Amino acid sequence: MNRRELFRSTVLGSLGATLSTVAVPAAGREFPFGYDASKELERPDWKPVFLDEHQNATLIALSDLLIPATGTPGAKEALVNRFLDLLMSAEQAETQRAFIAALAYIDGECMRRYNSAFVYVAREQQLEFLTLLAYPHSLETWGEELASFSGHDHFMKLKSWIAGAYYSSPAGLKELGWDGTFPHGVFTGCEHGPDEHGGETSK
Amino acid sequence: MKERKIYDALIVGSGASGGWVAKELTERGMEVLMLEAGPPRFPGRDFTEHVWPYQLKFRGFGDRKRALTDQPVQSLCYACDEYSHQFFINDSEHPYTFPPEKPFMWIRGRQVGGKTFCWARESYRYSDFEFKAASRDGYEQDWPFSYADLEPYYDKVESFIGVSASYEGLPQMPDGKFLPPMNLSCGAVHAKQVIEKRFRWRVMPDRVANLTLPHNGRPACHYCDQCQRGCYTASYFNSPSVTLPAAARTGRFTLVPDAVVSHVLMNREGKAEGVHYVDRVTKKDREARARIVVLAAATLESTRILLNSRSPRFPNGVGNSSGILGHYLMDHFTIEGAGGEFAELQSSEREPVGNPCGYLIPKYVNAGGVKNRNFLRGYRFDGDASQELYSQAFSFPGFGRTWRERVRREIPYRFSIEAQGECLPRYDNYVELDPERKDAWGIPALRIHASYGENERAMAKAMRQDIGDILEALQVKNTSPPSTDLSVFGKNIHECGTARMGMDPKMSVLNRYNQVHDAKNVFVTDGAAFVTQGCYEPTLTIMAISARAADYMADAYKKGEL
Repeated sequence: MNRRELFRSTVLGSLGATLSTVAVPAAGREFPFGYDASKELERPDWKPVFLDEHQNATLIALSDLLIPATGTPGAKEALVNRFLDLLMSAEQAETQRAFIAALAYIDGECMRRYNSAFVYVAREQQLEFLTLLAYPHSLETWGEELASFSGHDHFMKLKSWIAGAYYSSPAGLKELGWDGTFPHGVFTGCEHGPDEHGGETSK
Repeated sequence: MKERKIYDALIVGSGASGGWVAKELTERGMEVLMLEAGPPRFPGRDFTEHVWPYQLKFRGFGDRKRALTDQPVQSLCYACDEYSHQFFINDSEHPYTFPPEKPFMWIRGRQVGGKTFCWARESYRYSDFEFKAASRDGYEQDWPFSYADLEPYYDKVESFIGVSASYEGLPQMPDGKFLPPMNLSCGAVHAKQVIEKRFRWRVMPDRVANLTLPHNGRPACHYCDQCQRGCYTASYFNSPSVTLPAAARTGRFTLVPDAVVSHVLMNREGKAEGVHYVDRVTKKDREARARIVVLAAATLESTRILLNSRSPRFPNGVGNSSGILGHYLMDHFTIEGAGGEFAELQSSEREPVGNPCGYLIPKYVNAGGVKNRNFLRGYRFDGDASQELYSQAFSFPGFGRTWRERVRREIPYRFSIEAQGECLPRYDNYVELDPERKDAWGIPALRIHASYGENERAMAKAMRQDIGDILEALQVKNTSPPSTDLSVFGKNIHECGTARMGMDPKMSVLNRYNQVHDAKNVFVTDGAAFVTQGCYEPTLTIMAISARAADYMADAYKKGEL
């Protein structure tokens, strides 16, 4: 029995049938069966709707370095850039600004350090630069206020967006142990003995 | 256009309460018309339980611009997201107001089935610790009946809808007619062992209206763990899959969706003759006639209809001769956000998933044993313990191959705990009709005045203390502390009261059978009727009092008393 048959056979399906005056509207179906928004992102004629070409290229390069392919697809193959472009297009202005500011920071710092935009910097230097940004580098000294490192803040925002987009993609879900099924079988719960979890009770 | 037919009974609202009244009345031979303000929902179009995040345009993160335009309030609810926003109202059509210092969050579902599509399914019986609370501590009023009066109806409701639960033998939370309980995860079992040994507080699986076995023609749960998005197999209770089909099978049930009721039509003798409603789509005015009118439109909506049923005989609305209508609004408050990681349960392997519920720690304070004299009444805890999906991706430092490998191999195991406490019924927590604002159908909007008081704040202090003790006993890492603020009034979607029952017509709106003191063929069967709400979810009790009220209505109608 497939899913369609399954729901038709439920009582709810049959109640729908008793509402003779109400037909299921064919148009405006928000969640039609089999619809897959990720296919839209895979279209060969895809064009960004929020980012410009350079921002898009920068985002692809960043996502590839943050979540590289390791035998299984990484963030670049998962088209993280295309999803974030769509997500940002619908975001509030404040979030949009933060996203663009983070990308701009990356380029601005690279211009200062390497005289080149991020995408044109050699891979070793890209890695070196991102490694610098990846940690807070907070150092407390006598009589000075703790200064936050804005490069780290920008990096953490980009990392969050890229990770969220990656782990919600088909490739990312597989990485988390997704098996492609929804019904999981009876949840049997814990089957350990009373003292097998460690902690206080095992003492 | 006027509906010519006069029905035996007319029910406003098709959710947990209306469904039970419809089932009981039609099965007793009565012709019933049900008016529902919203449209019907169809599994093939509206359910998203088996949709993967990447299949959605915004992967569940949602279209923020649309949410801020159409659902700025509803999207504050945990269950209203890109998957399930269709089960919640459009805020722009449903305005309400409140004084700036008393924010209120009104979460509503208007559709055939009401909020039963997206409810959390927790189903606990109240006991005489709730029904007779006033006799114990002297605060406010008792319910006009005792647990023994309601027990047969709890039995009936549980037997029909299916509630999976463990037998615990607790006097403050009676056992019932249960299916086998849901199982607890490793983390929850670990927490149970530690908490029961250290504090002697019971830890048990949530009691939920999810089927662990096939029941009354409905298949058992298939453990996809996405209940708030609909259920193709109807394995949890919602009225369109369970009570409404039972009513439909009698051949005496008529359901009209998209009928937004504005007021009850009263005749010169002070009896209801039907209701006035507005077609949701065409906005045309309509009337429907019946000998009994039952309001089951959800707490605040039923009260709004009564307040808006004004006439020379009832200048302040039907059922308001006492001035009590609209008053004694309650909603549970919660202390949220607490938890931590079980280091000993961190693993590189995924544990089985699909559990639709977590654990519960029933009320132990002021429930016969331990007394806390700093406040009246009490609270309970609930939460869950399970592996994180990918939150570690945000907290692990670094990036690249090594980081990605850590995200995959070091799966944190998180324990979470939340406290939910009783809100005392207070006269000064009330609703009234807003003098100016109207909804999209021209019906006056509600102005809501609700805030928590000293008792709730004193209780919150004890909750935080207990949560701290539990987290310490569990020796969790990366602890997050309990919130310092009480949740916003309304947030827990357990709004109750405003048309309470009582023996004294001067102190209440309804009698012991949910019948309006001032108009004997008008009934209110939903949460509006509650006198107190304890610290447990109200829906099971709403269904039980609805079935009991319907029993009375059918008897009285046959005797010609209505």
